[in-house]
Amino acid sequence: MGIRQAINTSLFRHISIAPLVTFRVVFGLIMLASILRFWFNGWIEEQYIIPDFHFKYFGFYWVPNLPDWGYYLSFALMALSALGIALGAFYRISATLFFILFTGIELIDATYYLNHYYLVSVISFLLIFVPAHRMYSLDVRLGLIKLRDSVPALSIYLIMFQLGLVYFLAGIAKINSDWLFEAMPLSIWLPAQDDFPLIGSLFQYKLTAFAFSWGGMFYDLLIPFVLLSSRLRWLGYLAVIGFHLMTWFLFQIGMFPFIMIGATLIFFSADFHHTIHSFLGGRVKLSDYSRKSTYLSKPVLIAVSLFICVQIALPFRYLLYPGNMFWHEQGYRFGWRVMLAEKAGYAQFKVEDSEGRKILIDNSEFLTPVQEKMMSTQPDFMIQYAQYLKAHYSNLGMDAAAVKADVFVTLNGRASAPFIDPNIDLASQTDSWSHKQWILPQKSEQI
Amino acid sequence: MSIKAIPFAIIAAVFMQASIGCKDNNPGEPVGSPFAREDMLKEMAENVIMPSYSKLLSDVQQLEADFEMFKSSPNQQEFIAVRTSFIAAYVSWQSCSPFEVGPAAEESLRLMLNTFPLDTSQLKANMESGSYDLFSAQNSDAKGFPALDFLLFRNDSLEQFTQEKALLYFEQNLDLISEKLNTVISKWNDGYDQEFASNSGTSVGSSLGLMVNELNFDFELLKNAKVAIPLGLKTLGVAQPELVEAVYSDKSKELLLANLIGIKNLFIGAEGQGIDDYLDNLDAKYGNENLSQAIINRFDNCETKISALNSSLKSEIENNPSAVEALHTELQNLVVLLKTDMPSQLGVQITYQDNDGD
Repeated sequence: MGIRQAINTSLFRHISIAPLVTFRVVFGLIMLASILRFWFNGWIEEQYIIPDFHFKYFGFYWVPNLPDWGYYLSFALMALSALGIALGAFYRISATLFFILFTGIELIDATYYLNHYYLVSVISFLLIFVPAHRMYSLDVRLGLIKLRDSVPALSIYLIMFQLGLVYFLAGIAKINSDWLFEAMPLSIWLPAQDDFPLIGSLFQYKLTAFAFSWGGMFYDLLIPFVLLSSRLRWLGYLAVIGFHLMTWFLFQIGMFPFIMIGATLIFFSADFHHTIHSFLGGRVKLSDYSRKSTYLSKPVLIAVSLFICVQIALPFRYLLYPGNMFWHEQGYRFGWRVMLAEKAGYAQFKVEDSEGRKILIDNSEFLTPVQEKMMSTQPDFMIQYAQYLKAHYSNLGMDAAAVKADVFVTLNGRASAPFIDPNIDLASQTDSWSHKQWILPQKSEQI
Repeated sequence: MSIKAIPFAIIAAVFMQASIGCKDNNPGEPVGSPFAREDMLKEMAENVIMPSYSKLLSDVQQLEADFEMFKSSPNQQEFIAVRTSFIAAYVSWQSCSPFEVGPAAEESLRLMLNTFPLDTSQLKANMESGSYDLFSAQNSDAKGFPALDFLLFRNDSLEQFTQEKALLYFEQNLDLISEKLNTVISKWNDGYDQEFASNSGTSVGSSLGLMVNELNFDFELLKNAKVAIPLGLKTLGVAQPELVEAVYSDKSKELLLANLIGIKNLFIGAEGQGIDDYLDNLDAKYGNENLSQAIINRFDNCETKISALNSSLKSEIENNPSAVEALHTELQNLVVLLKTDMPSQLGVQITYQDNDGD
C-alpha cells in the first residue's frame, strides 16, 4: 500500500486551484490573440483557401479539406471557444471544441507544422480534463458548477510536466555537433540580424553564435528545474522572459514566445497567484484544503502514464532511423526541435509516360511558396506531391506512368547535395513509419 | 569526476573542438560586417540597376528617334535602322528584367514590356479595330517588345509595317515602353534609391530578400520560358520552337545571353560590391571552394553553352536539340545553387509565415 499512499499524497492531494486559474485565463487569451492575428494577417486565405492541394500528416490522410466558409467558421468558433476557456464559460465544451477545431485545422495541412501548434494541441487536450473552471469562472457565476478552490495536484503537475518536457527535450535536441561545435544554424542566422539594436554588431562574430548556441542549450536543459525551485524561480522567470523576447525579436517565430512566457506562470506558488487574483479584484476566501484528497483512480493513473510515455517516446522515435534526422526528417515532427536547422531544397519534378517521355514540373503552378519550400526538404511531402501530380496529369488524359524528382538540399551551410534517388517513382511509394530507402545518405562533409 | 565538473568538462571539450574544427577562420573574426548590406545595396543600385535602366532608356530613345525618321521617310534604309535600334533596346531590356523590385514591381514592368509568347490574333484584332486598352487583361499577351518584334519582323519588306494601323500600334507600344520605363526611373531617382539602400535587413520585404527572390524568379523564367518550353521539356519532348522569345526577329539566342549576363551582373554587382562579395564576407562555402566562385563558375558554364549555339535558338531546337538540352542541364545546375545554397547562406526569408526552423 506504500506506493498507493505515496501517489495519493502527492498526485491526488488537493492543492490550490489558483495557478491553474491563471493558466486557463492566460492561455485562453493568448489563443484568442493568436487566432485574431492569424485571421487579420490574411493567413486563413493564404494558407487554407488559396492552395489547390494540402499536404497531410501520416495517418491523417483522411482529414478532409473544408469548403472556404468552413475555414472561417472553424476559426470563428475557435476564437469563441478560446474566449470560453479564458472566461471559464461552458468550460468543458469550450476546451473540447477548441482542441478539436485547432487540431483539426492543423491536420488539414502539414505544411504549417510548428512545434508550438503541436504544444497548443497537447495543452488544450489536457485542459479538457482538468477542472480549471472551478474558480473565477462564468460557470461558477452562473451556478453551473460549485466553486472549489482546490484541485488534485495532478492537474497542475501534468501541465508543468508538459512545459518542462518541451524545454528539456528542446535542450536535448540541441546536443548535436552542428549546434554545439559549428554553432549552426545560428552562425548563419545571427549575422543576418546584425542590424539588431544595441548588440547587433556582436552578431558578426562566430563567438557570439557559439555563446548563443551553448547558452540556449543550457537554458533549455536547466530552466524546468530552475522554475521548480522556489529560491531560483524569479531568476528563472526573468530568464524565460529575456530568452523568449530575444527569439521573438530575432526570428519569425510567431506566438511561441508569448505562449511560453504566459504558460510558465503556472510554476509560481499559489500565494503568488492569489495575490494577483486579489489585486485584480478576486474575492474568494481560501479554505484549508490541505487535508482534502481525491482517491487514486486507476483509469486516471493509467491514462496519465500512457500520456507521459507517448510524450517521451515520440521525440525519440528518430533513433530508429539510420542517418542524420535533420537530413532525412524521419521522426522529426513532434520532437520539440525548434530553430535547429537552416535547410533549403530545390525539387525538379518530372512526370513520365510509359515510354519515358517527360514533362518538367513548375512547382509554382501547383504549390504556394511555403508549400514548395516545405516540400523541397521533406520526403513524405514528396510522395504526396508526386501522387497529386500523377492524378492531375492522368485526369488530363496523359499516360502518367511515373513521377520522379531531382532534389538537392542544403543543411546548415553544407554544400547542396542530392537528396533522393532520382530514378525512383515517387508516386508509387507509400508513406509509412519504415525507413525510406530512396532517401540518399547525407554526405558526411564538413560545413 | 563529480557531477558538478561535467558541464566544465563539456565546455572545455567544445572549445577545444571548436578551435580545431573551425576550419581556417578564426571564430573571433567578424562576418557580415563591417561590410554593411546597406553599402552593397547602394553599390548595386549605382553600378548595376541605374546604369542598366539608363542604357535601356537611351536605346529606347534611339528607337523612338529612328522611328520618327522612318515615319517621315519610310524607306528600306530607315526600316533597317528601326530594326537595329529595336534589337539594341530589346537586348538592353534583358539586363533590366531581374530588377522587379520597388518601382518596377509597382509598374509590373516585366509583364508590361516582355510577356511572350505573343498572342498574334489578339494583336491583329486590336490593330484592325483600332480601339483597345493595352493595360487590359486580355491584352497582356499582345504588347511590349514582343509586339514590336512582330510588327517589325513578320515580313522583310516594309510594306506591311508602313500600313497606318501597324505604325499606330507600333507607336503606342513604344510609348507604353517609354512611359513605364520613365516612371520607374523617376521613382528610383525620387527617393526609392534611398529606400532601397536603407531597407537593409534580411526579412521578406527587405531589399536583399526581394532582390534574391526576383533574381531567382527571372532566372526561372529564363530557364523555363526561354529554353525548357520551346525545347519541349514540358510537352513530353515535343519541341515547340515557335515559342522562343523574339521568334520573328529570331534574336532569341542573343536575348538569352543578355538575360543571363544581366542576372550574373546583378549577382556580382558589376564593378562594385555584389551578392558574391557579401557571400565571401560571410565565408560561405560550397564544399571546399567559395560559394560565390561556384556560382560564378556555373554562370560561366551556362554562358559557354549559350555561346556555343548557332545564332538561331529556334533552329538549334529544331536541328540540334542536344546542344540546347546540354544548356538546360547547365541552367539546372546553376539554379540549384541560386535557390538553395545562396538564400540559405544569406539567411534571407522567403515567406511571411511563422517559422520555427525546419
